[in-house]
Amino acid sequence: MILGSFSFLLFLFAVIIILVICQYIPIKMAERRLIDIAVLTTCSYIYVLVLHWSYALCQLFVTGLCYFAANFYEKTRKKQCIYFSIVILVGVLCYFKYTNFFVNSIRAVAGLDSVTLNIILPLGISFYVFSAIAYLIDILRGDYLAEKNFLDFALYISFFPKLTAGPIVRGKDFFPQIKEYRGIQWDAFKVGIQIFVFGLFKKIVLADHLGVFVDDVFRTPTAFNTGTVVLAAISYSLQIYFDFSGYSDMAIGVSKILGFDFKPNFNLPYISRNVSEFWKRWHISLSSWFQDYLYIPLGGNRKGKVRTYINLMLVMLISGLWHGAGWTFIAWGALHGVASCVNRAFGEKLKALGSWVNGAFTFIFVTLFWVVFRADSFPTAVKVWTGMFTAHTGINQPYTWSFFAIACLIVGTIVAWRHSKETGKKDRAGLLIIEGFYPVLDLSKLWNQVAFFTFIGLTFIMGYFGNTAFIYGAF
Amino acid sequence: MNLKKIVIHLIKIAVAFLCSLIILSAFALVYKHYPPQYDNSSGSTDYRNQANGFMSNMKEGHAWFRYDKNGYNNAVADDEIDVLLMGSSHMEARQIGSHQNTGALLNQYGFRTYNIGISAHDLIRCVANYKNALEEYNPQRYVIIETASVDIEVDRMREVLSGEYSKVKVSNHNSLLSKIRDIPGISLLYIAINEYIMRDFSRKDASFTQGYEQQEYEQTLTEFLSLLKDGGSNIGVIIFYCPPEEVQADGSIRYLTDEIKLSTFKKVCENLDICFLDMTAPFSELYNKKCILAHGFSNSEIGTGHLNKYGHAVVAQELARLMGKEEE
Repeated sequence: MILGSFSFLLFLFAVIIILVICQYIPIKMAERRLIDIAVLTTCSYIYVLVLHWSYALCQLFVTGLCYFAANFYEKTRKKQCIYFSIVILVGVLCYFKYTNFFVNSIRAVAGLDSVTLNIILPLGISFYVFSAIAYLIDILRGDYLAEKNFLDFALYISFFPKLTAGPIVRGKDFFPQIKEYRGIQWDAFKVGIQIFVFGLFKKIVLADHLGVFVDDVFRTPTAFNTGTVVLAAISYSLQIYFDFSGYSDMAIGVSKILGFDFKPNFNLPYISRNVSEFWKRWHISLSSWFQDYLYIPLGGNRKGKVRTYINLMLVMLISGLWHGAGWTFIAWGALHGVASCVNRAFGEKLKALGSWVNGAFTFIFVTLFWVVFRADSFPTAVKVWTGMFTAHTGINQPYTWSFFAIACLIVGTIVAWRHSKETGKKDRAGLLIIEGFYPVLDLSKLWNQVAFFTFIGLTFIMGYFGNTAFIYGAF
Repeated sequence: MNLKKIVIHLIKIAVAFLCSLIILSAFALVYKHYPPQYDNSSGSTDYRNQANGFMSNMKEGHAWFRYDKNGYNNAVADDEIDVLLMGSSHMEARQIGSHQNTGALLNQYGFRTYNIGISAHDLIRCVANYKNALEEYNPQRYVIIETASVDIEVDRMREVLSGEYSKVKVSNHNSLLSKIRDIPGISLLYIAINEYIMRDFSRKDASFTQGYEQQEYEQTLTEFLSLLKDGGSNIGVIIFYCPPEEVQADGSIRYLTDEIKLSTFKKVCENLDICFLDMTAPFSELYNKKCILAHGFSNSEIGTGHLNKYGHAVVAQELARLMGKEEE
């Protein structure tokens, strides 16, 4: 049951119906809130239980551990219990996600054949473990008090729209909304459904179509001519963006329908003028997590140049490892680390080249880095890079969906630029800050309804319905 | 909210829905639109498209054309024909211009060809309809049948042999519901939503000839293909095989053909004096010399799906060469 699938829509419909029925139960507001939260938590557990019972068990373990650790800390002020819980959480994540990788890396060094241990990776573990760690550190820092209501806390960890691939929501953003929860509101519903369809369009029309071409070229890079390999690399940059931002939009839309507000997780990352800016615009909830809970505690940029570079490298390496258990992901993280260090060292000088040149270079580098991220091995990545930079013949595939996706991206950016011009927000250098926004319409107007219905129709008509999964769902 | 407001709201939604349907229908006419299909009383094919029906397709390939007066894809059609071309969606060629398909190209080579290729008409259906097609179109020199497989379903062959063959069912266009479904926007949405729902359910593929001994298979195939010779007509029969292809990791190409089935098919054709044309070598040459695959389009998976214009060109060239050689 992936987000946006037919079975998910049925599930969501059932949840909405139950919540609407709950609104008509003649009880006090506080009691109704309790019932609503119980319904949402139960449904979130059902969501994972239908996939595998062990997913729910793992989620329950993480929930229980953090809940009791935080409350125990608040009573006793013993920091050790928080540290110990964080170590266990990291251990759980490592066990499920990295055991096979570590075992096979050691076996490879020892010259032994690789083995696959039968370990099931619980759905969304990377995301909810990071939410849990953030919560414990926030409690330790005294940012807010430990949650006393177990149901509320269980919902924070398990809330189904954000479970599979985030966004990684912070406790300080989520708990106040739970406390003030008022069920499904019609105005929020109208906005949420538009954000959801917007995400669905990105996913099934753009990302999934691009995936067909990217899969073909990355499977057999040597069979294609230079232009096609370059187009495939660009297409993957677009695919992963539309796939993941599409997922995030759907998660944010569904959350909005159910009465929760989450911040956008992407902000036009491909207009970034350097790699550091890229990470402020790409998967914002993860980037800010790494900044707040790893980079800054390591000393950030406060302990001299060398230490800053080490911290940047370390954060990007761990970010790479978080994305996947493989050396290609670590290499991808390392490349971003080096690029971040270069930007740190020469960023001011590079600014002289101008926004357009810096933007183009950033896109080129990010696209080249995505190659190693997408490739199943280093030899494949090298083949793709070689294919991009050496003139050679092969199959020519000017994939039309790639051009359509590029056009969508350009049009979207122009619309965002015009919108940002109206708000007039500028950075310290006086340059306009271009920010993305959701094209939400006022659905009480007839022509807006026409536009929305047409957009839904186009999404389905142009959608790709082959076998696809969310790229970030695997992380 | 009072009742009046709710009614106005619902009317607004209904009007908006209708307006969007009009916009979607206009879009569908350009993006993907197939005309209605009707039962074919002559039996030359199980069904045919609406006469002179307009077709557009941007889902796989890019094509916009009108079917001919009989509902088939022919850019030009003479009353007297030399060659009757039968086959599946590959020959119907909804993915390319109507001047680029095998039938049109054979016409350019000087063979007056009429193409009754139509979707879902694999070799079994073509053989089942062969006699009726011959009667209706009376080709003077050849009947050419396309097949994308040489692994023929035994049970279905037996159905044809025993006369229990069931035709492709097309929807009735007289009911109100079917008339609504024929509206381009609704038709396309119906297909898309159906695909969207079905994605959640897995599909299984099975080998057609599993559980049958080779000898039994060969015997059934012989009896089945003999139907092409039963008419007593002197015209030649050509079956050409377009193998599905796949690009390999090293950049070479692999044909997804069961070699035993292929040699059986060849042998049976030879015994029955049916000309068999295997397109494997010409497709390989096309790829090895020009890096062009015979299947697939710029908006679909590489090397899969239907024959593209290059594939049709090679097929037409080989067929023309074969027919020329036969007549010498």
